[in-house]
Amino acid sequence: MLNYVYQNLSTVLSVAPVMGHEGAVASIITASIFGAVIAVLAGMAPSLMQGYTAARAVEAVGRQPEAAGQIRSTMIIGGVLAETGGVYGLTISLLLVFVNPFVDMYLDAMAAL
Amino acid sequence: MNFDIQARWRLYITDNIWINITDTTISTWIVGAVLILLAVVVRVKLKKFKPVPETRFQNIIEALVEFFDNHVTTIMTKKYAHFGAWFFGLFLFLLLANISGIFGLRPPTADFATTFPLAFTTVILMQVIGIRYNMKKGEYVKEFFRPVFIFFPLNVASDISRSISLSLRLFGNMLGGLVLMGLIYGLFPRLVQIGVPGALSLYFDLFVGALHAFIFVTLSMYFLMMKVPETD
Repeated sequence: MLNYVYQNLSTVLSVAPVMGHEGAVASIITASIFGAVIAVLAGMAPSLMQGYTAARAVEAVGRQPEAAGQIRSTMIIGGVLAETGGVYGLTISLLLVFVNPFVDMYLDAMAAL
Repeated sequence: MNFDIQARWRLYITDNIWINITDTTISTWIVGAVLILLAVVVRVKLKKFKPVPETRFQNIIEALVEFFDNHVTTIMTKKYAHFGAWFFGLFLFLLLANISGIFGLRPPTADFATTFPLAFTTVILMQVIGIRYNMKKGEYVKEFFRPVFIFFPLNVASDISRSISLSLRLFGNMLGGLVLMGLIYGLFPRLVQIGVPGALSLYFDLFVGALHAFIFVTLSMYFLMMKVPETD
């Protein structure tokens, strides 16, 4: 991952239309990685609640073993629906790390000045 | 490490307009070819099928179709069970596309350009099924103005946003698995790469892939059932 970031940084810097902005670009990438870490934390709550869903499903199966099949499919649907928020966080963090738009944005803005 | 979608060839229409043939396109073609081959083989062998299955092939095909038929009738009731034909095709495509990572292809579903059109098809199908089966007293139109008429933009937005949540769920899970597997393969030296990541690949490619193909189709069917009258 870090290797990738260094590569990204070096390629950006080698084609940078405005020299003298290396420090700014480096701090933009650093801030993006911090943002990605925070975005990935969104996965905490869905995981917690998926465990809760599974626990309640186990209780339900214990109470009504004959409905196990229906309970299982309902549990999977509910768990996956709860996962959506976590996946949004994951998508945002992947976008921030691998297709970072802010460096280009910054360099464009600097070139326009 | 590079997880971008690579363009392998370019088809030039004019000098300024071209079509990129990307990894996604190639794997979609391969998956489609496999599905067409399967369909042709099943069609040819269908004449030899007996009422009581004798061959292993017939058993597998019948188990697959019967499993999906039961699933569709549980969710969509007998009246709308003919929509199962479309969803079965979609399910097989997504299943093969998700597990194609095992065979060294880039999964087509790890590209937002594949998942979004498929999810948007569900949104269009929702309108189609609403107009076809829920138009007797104009219920389909009235549904947009529930509970009061000011909610019209919100209802339209909620319909459209279903495609986004549906496609992002599949895309995020498949891309997450792809990136994680890439990082893990990079972590191990060449010699260990054969054994250890295999177990993880079993989870990320097979289990998550099959689960999310199934989830995508099931949620699509639930969304469709929201648009038809409840008393059936």
